[in-house]
Amino acid sequence: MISRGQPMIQTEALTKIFRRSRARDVVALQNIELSIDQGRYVLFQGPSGSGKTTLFTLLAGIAHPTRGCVLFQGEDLSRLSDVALCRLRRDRVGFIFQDFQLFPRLTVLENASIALLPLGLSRSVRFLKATALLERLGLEDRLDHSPEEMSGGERQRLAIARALVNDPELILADEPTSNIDADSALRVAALFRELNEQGKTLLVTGHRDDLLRDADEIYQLDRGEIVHRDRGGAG
Amino acid sequence: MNVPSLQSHWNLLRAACGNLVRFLPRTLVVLLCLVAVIFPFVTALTISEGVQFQSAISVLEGADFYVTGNAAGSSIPLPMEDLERLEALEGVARAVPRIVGRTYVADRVITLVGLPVDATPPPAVGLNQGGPLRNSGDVLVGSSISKTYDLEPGTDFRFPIKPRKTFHVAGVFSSDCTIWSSSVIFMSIEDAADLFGMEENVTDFLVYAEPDRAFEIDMRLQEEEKSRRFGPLTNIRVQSRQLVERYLHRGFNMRMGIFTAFYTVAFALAVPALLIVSGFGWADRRREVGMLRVVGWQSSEIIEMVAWENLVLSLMGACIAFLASFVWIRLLNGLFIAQFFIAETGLVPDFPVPSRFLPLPLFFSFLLALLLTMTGSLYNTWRLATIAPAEAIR
Amino acid sequence: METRAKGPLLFCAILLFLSLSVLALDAHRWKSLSDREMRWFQELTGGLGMGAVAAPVWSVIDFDPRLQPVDESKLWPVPGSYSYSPASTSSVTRFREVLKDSDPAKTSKEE
Repeated sequence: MISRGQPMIQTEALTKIFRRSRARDVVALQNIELSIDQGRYVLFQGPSGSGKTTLFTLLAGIAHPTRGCVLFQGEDLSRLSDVALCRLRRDRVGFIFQDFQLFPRLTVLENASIALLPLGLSRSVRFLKATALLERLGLEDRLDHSPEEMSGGERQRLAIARALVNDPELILADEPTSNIDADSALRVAALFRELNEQGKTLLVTGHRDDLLRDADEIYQLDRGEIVHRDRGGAG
Repeated sequence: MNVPSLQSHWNLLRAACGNLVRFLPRTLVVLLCLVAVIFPFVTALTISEGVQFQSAISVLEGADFYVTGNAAGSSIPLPMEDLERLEALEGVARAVPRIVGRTYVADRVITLVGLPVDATPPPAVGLNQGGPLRNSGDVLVGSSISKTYDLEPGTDFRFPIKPRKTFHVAGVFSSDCTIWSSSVIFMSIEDAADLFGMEENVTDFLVYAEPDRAFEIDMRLQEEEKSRRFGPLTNIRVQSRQLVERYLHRGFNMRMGIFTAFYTVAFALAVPALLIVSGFGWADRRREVGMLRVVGWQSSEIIEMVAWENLVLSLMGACIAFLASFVWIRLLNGLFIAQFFIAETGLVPDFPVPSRFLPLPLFFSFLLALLLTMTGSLYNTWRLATIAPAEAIR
Repeated sequence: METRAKGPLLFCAILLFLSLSVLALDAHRWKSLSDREMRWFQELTGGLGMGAVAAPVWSVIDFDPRLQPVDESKLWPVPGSYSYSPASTSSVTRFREVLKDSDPAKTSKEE
């Protein structure tokens, strides 16, 4: 359900506390207030442990906040049923992990098309869609390989392909360029730019200059709070 | 609400099969556990069916009534003179005296049966060597006894309980005569009485009724039984064919004793064993389930995929156990294992182990396997499939 | 996920086919089974043997309850009259004494 005029993603007093039984509780995020419009390219920066990854997991609906809420085009994620949340993640959100989180025992093609498997599409249709995407990302020669046989840059592109296979509106990429070589990082940055130009909303964490240059907005996080907000190079 | 299409179920089934190959060590270990649990279960059922068939023939071809002596609740011999009383009952076609006992040949317990020679039904189709009894002292021996002690037709031997009397092997029973024939020595009733020192006594009378008069004879024998309770004549116990059939039905439906206890314990142990085994590679599985949720798989889809895995595993396990049972019983004649299902058989059975492979044991094996695998894995999967994905992939 | 799915499916199909073949072959064998020798032996001996016990080494009731319908091992001096007879612990049959009703009509109803 697209609520026209609503921001793509919003948070209200978003807080996440990790309860520890034998140590003090960890406050990962504290009262985060965000409003990101559709089609924006937003960069999140901050030192390690500032809560960037936690924030992304909450925005994608793959973790639950302790307090506050996340609104996806006006819909409160915490009020969605598990089935609706899964559909949202499947159809409208693409998540790219810092450590790729690929399936090591699946081929590149299977990894990329994994989200399509329960949809009732035949194998040939699923693989066709995934192949087109992998070709666009320069992985057409690696379709039958396993992720372990690939370089960091190739794995990152595969993770991107998996996130994009259902053509999501919102893409969250957690440190997409930190574990790969410089050339691959350039390619990834260029890809993100291209996706944003197609109207996708991009939320990225990272510190590279090209990411800074392409972003519309930059948020600085520290100790679970937004400490600074700035315009990016494209903003 | 979207109803999943057949294609999506087929996709999940294929994914499940792919998982079985991807996590091959786990698959093999679970299969082994399933086969170990189901194999004795299937074997017991098939042997039970085979023995039941032979038992039914034993009852069918036996007498209409068995009359034994009764003292303090146990069977005792009856005097031969009771034969006349029984033959005199109206409706009795014939009454045959019989001596059945246990004795030793060398160090082995055998069943000894003595009946009037003229009661032997021709032709002697159940003998694979030699011929019927002709002279006093002639015996027919079971195939196992013949093989163990080299008792071929024409051989002479003696029983330890009567070393002065020589017996002569006239024939050897075929091993196809039933499992009980292998340890039997058959002789004339006179020889049996002489051997056991019970001249003028028999262990039981076999009473055969004229057609459609069994009920009538039953009533008369009941009266005879009652009339002897406080009289000078030996008390009797009458067992009708109907009663014997009740033994048959109840006896095969009661899987009593240590076999049942072992099986119950094995089953109980199999559940936690499978829980542990299905935890192999679970760390990887946990992360995978989390990632599937991240990319949009629903809990029901993940659970369905795991259910398909269990279904395929169960089918494989049941079939492998079934086929292993077939090979072991039919081709290896139950080597080493038949003794657990037919007592006094030994490591290498002396007779063809009776067995019958029916669809129901295969089906029950599959259900049993499914129950075990589902108990072992579905709960874990459900838990993983319902927690937040970020927790699962941590 | 499905690349190697063919293997297990094919293996399953082969196993199922073999199992069903075993069932069919066994059914065919049973139809053509000659029980002549069995019937002759039972007629000769007047009916001998009923339980899954090859020889009455321990107790007679598990071998053939017609011969001795009392479980003698219960009379052994064992507390609780537990039967240690292997015939009662390791076979797939177990005969217990059946209390006979004096009224055959009633007996037949219970059947």
